[in-house]
Amino acid sequence: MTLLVRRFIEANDQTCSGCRACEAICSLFHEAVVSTTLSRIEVMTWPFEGYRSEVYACQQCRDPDCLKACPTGALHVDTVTETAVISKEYCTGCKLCMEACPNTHSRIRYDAKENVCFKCDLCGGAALCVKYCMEGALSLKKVSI
Amino acid sequence: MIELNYGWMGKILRINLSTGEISDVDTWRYAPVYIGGRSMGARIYWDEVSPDIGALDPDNRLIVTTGPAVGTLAPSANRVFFTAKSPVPYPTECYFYSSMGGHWGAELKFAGYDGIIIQGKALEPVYLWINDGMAEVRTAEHLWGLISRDAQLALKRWHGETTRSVVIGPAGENLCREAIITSDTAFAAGQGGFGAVMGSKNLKAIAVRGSGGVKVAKPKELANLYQYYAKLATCKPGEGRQNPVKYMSYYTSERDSSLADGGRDAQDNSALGEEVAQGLVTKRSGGCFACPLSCLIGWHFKDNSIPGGAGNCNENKFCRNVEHAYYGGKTIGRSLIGAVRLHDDLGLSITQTGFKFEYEWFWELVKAGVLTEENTQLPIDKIGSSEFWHEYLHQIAFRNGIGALLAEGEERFFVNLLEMIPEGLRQKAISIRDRWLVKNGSGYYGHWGGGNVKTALNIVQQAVEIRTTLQFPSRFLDPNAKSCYLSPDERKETAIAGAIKYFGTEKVLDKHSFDAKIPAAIYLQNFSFVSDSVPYCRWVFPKPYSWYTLDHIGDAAIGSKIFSAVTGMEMTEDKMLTVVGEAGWNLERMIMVREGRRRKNDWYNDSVFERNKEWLSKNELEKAMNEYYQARGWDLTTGIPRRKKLEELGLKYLADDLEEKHGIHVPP
Repeated sequence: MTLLVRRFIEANDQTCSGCRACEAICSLFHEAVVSTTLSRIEVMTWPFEGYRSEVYACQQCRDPDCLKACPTGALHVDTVTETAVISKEYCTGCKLCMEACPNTHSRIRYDAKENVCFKCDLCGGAALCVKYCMEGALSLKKVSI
Repeated sequence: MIELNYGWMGKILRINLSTGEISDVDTWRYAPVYIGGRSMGARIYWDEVSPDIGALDPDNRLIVTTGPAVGTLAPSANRVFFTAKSPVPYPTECYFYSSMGGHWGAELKFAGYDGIIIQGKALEPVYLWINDGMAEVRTAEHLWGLISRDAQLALKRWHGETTRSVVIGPAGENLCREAIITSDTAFAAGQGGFGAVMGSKNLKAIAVRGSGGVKVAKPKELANLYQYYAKLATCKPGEGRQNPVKYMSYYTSERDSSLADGGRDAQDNSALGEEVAQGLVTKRSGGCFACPLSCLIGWHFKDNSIPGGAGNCNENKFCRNVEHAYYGGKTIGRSLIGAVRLHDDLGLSITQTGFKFEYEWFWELVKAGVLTEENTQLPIDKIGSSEFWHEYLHQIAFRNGIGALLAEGEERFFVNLLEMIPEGLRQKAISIRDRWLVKNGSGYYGHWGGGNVKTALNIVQQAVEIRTTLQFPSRFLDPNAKSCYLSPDERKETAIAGAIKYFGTEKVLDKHSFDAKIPAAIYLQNFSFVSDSVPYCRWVFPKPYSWYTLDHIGDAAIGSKIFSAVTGMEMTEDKMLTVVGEAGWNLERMIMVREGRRRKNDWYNDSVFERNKEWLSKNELEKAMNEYYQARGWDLTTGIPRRKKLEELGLKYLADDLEEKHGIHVPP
């Protein structure tokens, strides 16, 4: 299935200060706990390179490889928000979607405790990380196809 | 019933390096009464560090405490506190605390711990590796001797890229009394010389990685608080986010603000302005965990001539006068930034070692002929240059030449110097010392060398302190201070409205009278204790004034709001100021009393009276202090908190302990 509108989080690595408020609000919203390992968005910072940061957020590909790779159908397209999301109850934690992700740093993450993969669902459209990024490094982009 | 596992992780790690024993201490032994940070640290210190222990003895504890808000989304709540007996104060080593921001505290909580108590001394250099509730003491033979950056990079290689560590540099290993504990770059527990305490335990680093999480009782409320305070701290209505560093200096003079501009604008006039314009350096912002401001300025030299790092506006402008003297009035960014970098690498404190230059006393000693090329083995004629910095800092960190004396800290340096120099120069050296090292009577030191002690409010506050007073009122309460955003009239109006809101009277604005200053000083002291215990950053918050509101009045009651949202316990600001602030202040006072501090120590040397002679007399200060002790419920002659006051605050055990174990009479 392909999407008619592609909505995704665009990150500007140059503006990011590496404060990880995005990770905190993401895990707080989705898991009711602040944990950087349970956040859908990831930030890596290299302090000794002058605080160079890289932000890893799902790009919501138009024709997602992860979607094709999922053997159980847990990874599906939410037609209301038009994003690819994972249903926890059908996920077997096989990580095939993680391997299929075209980015070198997979945008899908794995929760070892629950044995499930999880990914960005744009908070049902609210994209809280964008709202809580005080540096303005994140923005919600909408591309009509 | 309130669930206690919100905010706190529930256990504190205890490590005995002498025996290698590792155990867990229940956080509930201290929390939720001693909520965290400074208050929890002080409580543990009271229990474990007896007055006869020396700062560099194995029995001294290095107490690391976070707080309930650390590692949550609470704005700027990322600080971690170090408490121990400090080797810096002269003549008596005493209780001290120091804190740092960054990401290490949050990582420690993700790894499952609220804090660490380190005691004993390892037989050989070791480091501590903490990973998800497991702790291990490992050999540091490959780390010992490395500069702090290399040590951290090695730990990242061994334990994974996301590992965060606190380390000491060569200065800490060589027991320099002013050595720092540092994390990443620019995050440091700089005061108190805790790097030396770590070094005395043969502990090079504490590396942490955690995959756990911190539970929050009211996530929605906390999320809203973050938005609210972030806007209060950084935004202008209708215009959105401002340059946060510049914004912070809303109350400061234009000189400060142009320097504070830092790395945000390419065409700035801060240290690296020219080089940024030429495209030789990239600058960017860097921040502590979940901080809405991100005040750090990171730099990266494209030619790698100076390793990348970061500093804040203070660091990027420090010692400029000395530099200008050498380079003929020019600002050479590389020289300054290189010096900042070296401080971090060697594990020295910029405020201690660096601001010595800012306060010019080292320079003055040179000009007076007290320090020469022969007796220092330093290239004295190149003072202010990169070369000089390099030599000077290496000498201190490795205790060579004059560095052996400087490594002992300012006070001890002068004591030794006076013995070393010929009779004729002594008077000169003494007058320079008295001019620059403004101390309280007993030698407790002020963060800014005492230069700040110039208003009535500050003088009362600082008299009973062991270190810096809360900075915010001194600038904010000055209606005549230049502001880069407000017109002088607006500035005055805001100061008056703020004074009435927070202190109930306009009189606090009068810098040179003790009218209404005692309640204000007490409020600010209690307030600082709350902010250090929740804990949140004292530099970013509170925001008593703000650009975001129409009347420019902000909201200082951040501590209780964060605390309630994170832990789910009902707490009002007033209650917080009493049960955490006032109780904590009394606890700290009792610790100092146990270590010998009395009212006679809450006094200044003559240079303070000399400097402020137009308005300050010893008599008047004496009277004001009487009022202070009375309001605090402390004894007038000794300055010991009265039993009645302690019992009121639920601190009866302090009075009992002091009388039974230490034979010190606590007045009723």
